[in-house]
Amino acid sequence: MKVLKHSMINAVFVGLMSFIYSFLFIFTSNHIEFFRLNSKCKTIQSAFWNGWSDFIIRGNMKFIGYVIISLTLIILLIIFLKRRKEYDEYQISILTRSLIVAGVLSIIMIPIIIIQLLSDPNYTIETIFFFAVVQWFGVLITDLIFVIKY
Amino acid sequence: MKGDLILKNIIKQLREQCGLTQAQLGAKVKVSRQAINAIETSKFDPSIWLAYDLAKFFNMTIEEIFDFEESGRK
Repeated sequence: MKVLKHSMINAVFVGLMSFIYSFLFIFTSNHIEFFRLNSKCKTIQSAFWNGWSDFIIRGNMKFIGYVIISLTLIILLIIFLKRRKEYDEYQISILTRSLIVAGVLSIIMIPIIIIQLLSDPNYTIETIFFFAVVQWFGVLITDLIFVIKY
Repeated sequence: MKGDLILKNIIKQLREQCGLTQAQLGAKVKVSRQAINAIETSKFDPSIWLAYDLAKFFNMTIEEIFDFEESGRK
């Protein structure tokens, strides 16, 4: 994890992943062929998942994409304004821990999504989007606190 | 016991004897104020190189600063 000592690695990683997520969310909003994948009409009618499904179908994911872009720009601005070239070992340990948490979340989530797909594909797209939003917002907010504090 | 798993040390006493702030000591050994604070409050174990730098700065041995006998092994 020594590579994390360079603040530019943090900036590039957050910038690149945020670009991918925000592109995905903004691009898929309002795409009718994508909406067909949402399957809430055939489901057990969970109020929460139906609400989330409606949120996606109304094309609101683009707003989540805009929030991701905004948060990322704030993080990048703080990194560049602070002009810190390298983090020390304590800061690297904190950054590493936050990335491990995000990684563990992904590791846990993949089999859950596979089981869901194999047993009952209802709400699968909604679940994947929900997980992606929660996970990436978690990473961005953690990184924002990190760059403000250190 | 979480506290027992962290290396106990006398960095704070040594730093105060020298009349240094955490930020000033951090600058001497090229780490942040937060790193010194985390070591002093036993929230973070320094690497062997940082422990060496701290020992060298205080003109002591690593064993004199960090209490290996009283601390739990990870």
